Amino acid sequence: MGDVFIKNCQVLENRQLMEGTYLMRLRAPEIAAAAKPGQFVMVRTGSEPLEGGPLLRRPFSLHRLNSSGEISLLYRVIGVGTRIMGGVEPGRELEIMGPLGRGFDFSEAKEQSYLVAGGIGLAPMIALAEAMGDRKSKFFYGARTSKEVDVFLALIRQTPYEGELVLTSEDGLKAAKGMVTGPLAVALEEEPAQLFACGPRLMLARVAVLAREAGVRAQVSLEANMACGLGACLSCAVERASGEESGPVYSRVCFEGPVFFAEEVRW
Amino acid sequence: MVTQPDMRVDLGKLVLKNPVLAASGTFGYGQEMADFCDPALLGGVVVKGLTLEPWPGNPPPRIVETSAGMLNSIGLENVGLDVFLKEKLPWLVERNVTVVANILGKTVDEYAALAQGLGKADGVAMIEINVSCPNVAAGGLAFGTSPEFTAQVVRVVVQAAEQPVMVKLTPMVSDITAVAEAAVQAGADIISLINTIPAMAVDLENRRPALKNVVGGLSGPAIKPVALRLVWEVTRAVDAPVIGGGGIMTAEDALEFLMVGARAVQVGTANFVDPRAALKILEGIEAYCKEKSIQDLSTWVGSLKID
Ligand SMILES: Cc1cc2nc3c(=O)[nH]c(=O)nc-3n(C[C@H](O)[C@H](O)[C@H](O)COP(=O)(O)OP(=O)(O)OC[C@H]3O[C@@H](n4cnc5c(N)ncnc54)[C@H](O)[C@@H]3O)c2cc1C
Ligand SMILES: Cc1cc2nc3c(=O)[nH]c(=O)nc-3n(C[C@H](O)[C@H](O)[C@H](O)COP(=O)(O)O)c2cc1C
Ligand code: FES
Repeated sequence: MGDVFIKNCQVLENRQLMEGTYLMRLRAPEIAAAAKPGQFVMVRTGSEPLEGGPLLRRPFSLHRLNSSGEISLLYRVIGVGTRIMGGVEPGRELEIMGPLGRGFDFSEAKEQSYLVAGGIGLAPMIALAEAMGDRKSKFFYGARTSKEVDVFLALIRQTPYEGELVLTSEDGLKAAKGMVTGPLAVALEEEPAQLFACGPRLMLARVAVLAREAGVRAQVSLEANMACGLGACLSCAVERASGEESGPVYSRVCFEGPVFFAEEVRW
Repeated sequence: MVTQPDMRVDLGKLVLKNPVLAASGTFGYGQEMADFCDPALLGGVVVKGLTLEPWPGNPPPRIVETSAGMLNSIGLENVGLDVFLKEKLPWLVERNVTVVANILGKTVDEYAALAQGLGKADGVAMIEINVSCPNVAAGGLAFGTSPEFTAQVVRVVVQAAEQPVMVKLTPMVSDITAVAEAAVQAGADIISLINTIPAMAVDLENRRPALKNVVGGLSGPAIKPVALRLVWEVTRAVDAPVIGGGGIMTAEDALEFLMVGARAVQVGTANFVDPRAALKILEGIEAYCKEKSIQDLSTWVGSLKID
């Protein structure tokens, strides 16, 4: 696997960006140094070092990685684990395991790339945008509300990312109304480019279709319920598009993923 | 002066270096956890349940967290006997890991074939018969809930195997001592328990079961009291050594199982909470022995006092 760590990481900042969405900055030099965009960490929200809380660790994509030894997580409060995280005061420590899984492979990204994010799927795409450097790319972001558009703009402007931004929102305020896959389809028709995407499963399934139609490859970051995060328990299965008669074949999202080529997945 | 306590476990035909094993299905094939837990330091590693042919497993979602535990319906996804022998076992053998092979067949014949295949392999210290998996349609639980069927499986495996044979019991019976006795009479060397408890969770919002398979096996702290009681009953009913488990998260949990009568323990779900858990439990037991001046851990086994 390489370098995976379990560390007690000090929370440097834990800020609510909008109702239910938080940004957590942590001091995690080893993890930050080893991690690549698209990889994730598992956060222990229960028992020591925090009291009470759930059993299993919670998986989160790395949202920012920087050379000064910090990582950031961008997370939405869903249930008990993320609620606990939302209440963690800066200065306290959280036990983090990572970096885990296979991230985005952007070594071939030269001519043009499209980064596609929906909702909280934004988290790893910012890390990728930051790492793209001066490679040519456009960033497509699909928000639900105009508030989410504001949050996105604030986050992306903290990075040196210079590509074009294409925004949609379901309420049609501050961005084109509709789904992000709309403008993406148009862009692919005008100029096919390889895709990197993270977001709701339905959005990713649509991205997979668009990629196939445009004859380009898409790398998508998937989610699955996880227990170990290390490839041992086989909890995090995603069905492969094996095309075999012999029945289903599964991959582990935590190990072979979370980033897969869209054509590897049965949608 | 504090001396190093003797942690070895006498299982009759086999002596383990210490009483902490990783439970089947929670430690992969050892390699997956090796960054955090050197499998050679454990009393043994029970590898993921093996079948003759590779099995794909169940569709996701396969797990869900519940109060003080989790449900799984992995469905015995595994590489199959051949790939295990060729690709997984050598890594373990090279590192001197005490390997326990957990086997599951759809039929009695399949159990025998698995035992035979493993018998020829160097480096498998023990076979654990899984007659207690709740996540497969045939085999598993279907055998383990009946003393007669359990005995049938044990008989053929004991005959085919070169190694000591352990039988892993399900909690899903009204009288576990009957199954344990039948297994021992049929030739089982060791009894292990418990496997997970069939259970269910629903996703209220989506009006769906939380697991695609609808039901799964409950593990983790929630099942510890159930497991303790069953281990206690079995250790009183049979002379064969017993390896206990179910919800062990800490050294104290493990010491309770030993005190009740288990000679060793299996640590499962705790490995997910912390991949270092099994080692921490081992270290904790050792520290406890030193603190209480227990020179030989076997004197602790079955030391529960009932007034
Ligand atoms: C590789 C990966 C990266 C992720 N990155 C992010 C991220 O950057 N930001 C973010 O907000 N969320 C992310 N998620 C989703 C996040 O893990 C869940 O929202 C979180 O686990 C919910 O925990 P909870 O205790 O609050 O919710 P509960 O609903 O109480 O959790 C119950 C159980 O279900 C699991 N679970 C619930 N929702 C999900 C989900 N969507 N995916 C996987 N497991 C889930 C939990 O881990 C827990 O085991 C990611 C998931 C994966 C697999
Ligand atoms: C994800 C998962 C997979 C499991 N797979 C197997 C298996 O393949 N064979 C088996 O005999 N038991 C299997 N078990 C049961 C465990 O080995 C153990 O008996 C059970 O989980 C109770 O112990 P615990 O509470 O410490 O986890 C599995 C358990 C879990 C949680
Ligand atoms: S979470 Fe255990 S194998 Fe992926």
